[in-house]
Amino acid sequence: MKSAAGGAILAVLALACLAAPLLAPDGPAAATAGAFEAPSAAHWLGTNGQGQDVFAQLVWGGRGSLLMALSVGVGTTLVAVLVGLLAAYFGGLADEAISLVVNIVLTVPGLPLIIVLAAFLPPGPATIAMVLIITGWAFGARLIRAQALSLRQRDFIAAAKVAGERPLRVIAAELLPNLWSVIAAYLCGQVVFALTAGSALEFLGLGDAGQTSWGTMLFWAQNDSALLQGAWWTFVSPGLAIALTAGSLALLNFALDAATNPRLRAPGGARRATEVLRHG
Amino acid sequence: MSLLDVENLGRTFGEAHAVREASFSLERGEIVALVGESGSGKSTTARMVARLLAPTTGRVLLEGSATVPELAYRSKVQMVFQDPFGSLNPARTIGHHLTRPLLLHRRATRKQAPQAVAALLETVGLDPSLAVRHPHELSGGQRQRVAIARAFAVEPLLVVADEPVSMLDVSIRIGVLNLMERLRDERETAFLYITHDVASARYLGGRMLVMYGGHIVEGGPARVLTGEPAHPYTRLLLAAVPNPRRGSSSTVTRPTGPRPSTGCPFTARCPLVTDLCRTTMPPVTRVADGHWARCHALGKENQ
Amino acid sequence: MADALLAVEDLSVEYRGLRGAARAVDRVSFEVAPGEVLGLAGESGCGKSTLALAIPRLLRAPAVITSGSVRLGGRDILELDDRRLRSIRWSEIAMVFQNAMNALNPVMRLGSQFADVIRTHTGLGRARALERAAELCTLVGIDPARLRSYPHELSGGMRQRAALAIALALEPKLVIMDEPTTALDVVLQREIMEEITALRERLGFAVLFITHDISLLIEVADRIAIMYGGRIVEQAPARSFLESAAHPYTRGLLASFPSIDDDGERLTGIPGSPPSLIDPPAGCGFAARCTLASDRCRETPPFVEIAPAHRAACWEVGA
Repeated sequence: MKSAAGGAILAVLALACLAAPLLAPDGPAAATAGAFEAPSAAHWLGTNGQGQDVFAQLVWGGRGSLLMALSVGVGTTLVAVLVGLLAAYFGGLADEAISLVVNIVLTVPGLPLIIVLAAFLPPGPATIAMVLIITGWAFGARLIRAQALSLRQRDFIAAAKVAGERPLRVIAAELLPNLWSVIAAYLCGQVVFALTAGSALEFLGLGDAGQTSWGTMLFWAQNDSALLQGAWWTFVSPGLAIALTAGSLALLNFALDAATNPRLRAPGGARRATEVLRHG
Repeated sequence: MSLLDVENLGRTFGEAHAVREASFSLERGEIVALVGESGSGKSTTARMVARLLAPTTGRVLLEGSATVPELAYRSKVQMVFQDPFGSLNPARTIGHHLTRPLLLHRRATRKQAPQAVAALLETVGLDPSLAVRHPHELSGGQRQRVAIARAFAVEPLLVVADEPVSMLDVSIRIGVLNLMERLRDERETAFLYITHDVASARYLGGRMLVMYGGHIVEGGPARVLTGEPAHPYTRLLLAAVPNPRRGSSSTVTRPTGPRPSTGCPFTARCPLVTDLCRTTMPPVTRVADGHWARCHALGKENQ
Repeated sequence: MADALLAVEDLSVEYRGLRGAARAVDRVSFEVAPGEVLGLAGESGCGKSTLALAIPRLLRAPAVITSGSVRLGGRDILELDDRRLRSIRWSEIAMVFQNAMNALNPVMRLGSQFADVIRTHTGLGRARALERAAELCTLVGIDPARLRSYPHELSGGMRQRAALAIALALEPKLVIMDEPTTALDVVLQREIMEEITALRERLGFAVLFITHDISLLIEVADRIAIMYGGRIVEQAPARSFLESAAHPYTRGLLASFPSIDDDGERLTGIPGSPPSLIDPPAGCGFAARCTLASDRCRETPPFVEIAPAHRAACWEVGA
């Protein structure tokens, strides 16, 4: 139910962005009316300070924002899974070296570093995506490593070795299928994080202000003093779009959590019963 | 030449000696039970024989060779694990578990695999339709049969069975033991049967090795060992087994203090302990044909 | 037995899930006399652990007691209000579980856990409670210095002794033991069993001893009840089980244990697996695995007396 709602919201948003050339054939940059016109039949979400149609900006800009968020999500997840699995499976020195790097990256304060890096690199969504991947993979690697470590102790991994499977095959065919729910949940979380963090960077002016995205829409709304003009539609629209995307992914995530195999959870029946006995 | 020769095998974990000076051999089609309580080193020995753990000292020879390549070793030595809930991958089907060894060891082509899987399932008394199921859809007994089928997919010469029935329900344990015996008879597969259950070791017949504190302390035919045990630990073990027919008889000695680092591991609980026991591990002493024990008291008693 | 300590009558427990209700305990009745050891034997899923939790009302949703009464010294536990219930738990009924590590709090020293229990139920001061804890430790063969240890610092056998000591802290009249020695090896099991027997002789509590190991029960129990598919299918004095076990399931169970001195006879176990509790077969739950089954078994056999103090639920032996 939750997953269906989340999926439906996400699908509508993504389809609208994909269909941008049909929904707003003039493109996001065309100044088609006066500045700060309120929503009307001609301009569903009004216009911004440059006289550009907010709806057109929203659907065109969503392409950049969602693509950036998705690439960051997929990128960090790939790195995290690869690093986490290798560390967990091979253990020993490899694990210690990897864990050291992971812990160093984890202690680096994320957001300030992001701002510094984004300020020195050429602006644009690709830079933001790269910065977010560099700073974002470590936590996931630790998460995957911990999960994989507990799975590695299980006898089915030893059984696969006894059967004669090679290490990479054990990782890919025996470990990985048991991690899908964790990986999917992490991916959802990373996409949400990338969308909000990326938009925040763009809002701060660290993106490419010439390209349309939900973050730059907010940047321009701020720049054009939309708040003072009372043009709420210029910032509420992209803000709501970001919030809706994040919310739908969170709903998807809930569903994934519930679907996680309950057999993997530890029983605590005896302890609970004893606590009840003890304290009434 | 024996099928398997274990020579002076030892394994330490940090400071702790899990296994010391373990030597024994197995012939083709022979069932040898390695009996001991938890912490005796029996599972560590099993894992070293199955090449899941490298020995610290000593070596394992298969058909006289200590340097059998990995894949060749796997095609001759297989293992069945204790916990049928942990030894099958929850994310993969039963068919996957049986198909992989078939393909890896070229016992079947991809095309022949489904039939081979069905034949394996029938061999262990399961319905071939189970191949498409996941482990959690099977009962514990069914899972353990799948684990045995997986071991037999490569037509091994030796199967290391690490407490294969201790987590199963009582009424189906015998069925699994009988299955092992049948496979031994039909295929001349040898078994190294690891267990804490002396009675089941006796039931399977064959030879029995008793392990305590990392040492194999007694060895011989299972019927002889359970009938006339020579080592005081074996006697204690047998007295502790619930036996309603014979009635309870034992008074059990309690462990006092930690396990000594030199000498015999049983000194802390042994009624016959002497100063010699505390300093020197007893040598292998012959009790009768094929029956030996490591105990200083053996020479002095009228054994 | 008019003077029974515990009288369970017609007790049923269901697990209510999305796919329907599973009846884990099905109209079970039995009694435990003061000071008696009643053994309850059965395999996983037969309902014995659910029954153990139902008696002190420790079941949690989705398990629901749907019928019956549990009378302890004349009062029906199922009718008690929460305050009264709290007052009899532990002080009159205590429990020992299979894995003491699960029952003991891993981050509290043993002494604090002892003292907690004693103080909650008796109102003794902390110093007095700790003194009592030391007495209890001595009673079960643990060095009182061990009270300063955390549970993980104890060996498996020590933990089980500690769990036993805590259970006995308030001198309960009944101790329910659910597979207390199953996780231990035979030598430790023997030690704990001897300890339990000695303590029972001294303190006089009754035991409901739950296990899958019927040969252990024949040694330690006064009477044994065999559970299968949520029902008690046979009940008799322990010593009768060796010579005159009646129910085909009981006989199958007994034929599943290799003995340390039989002569190479081939055992068969019981073919098949236990019935589904969600959609149980009509009539006798064992019929599908039974070699004696006939058309009659589609109706539930009554639990009838087949010899003095010996009851069984089977058409083949009831007549």
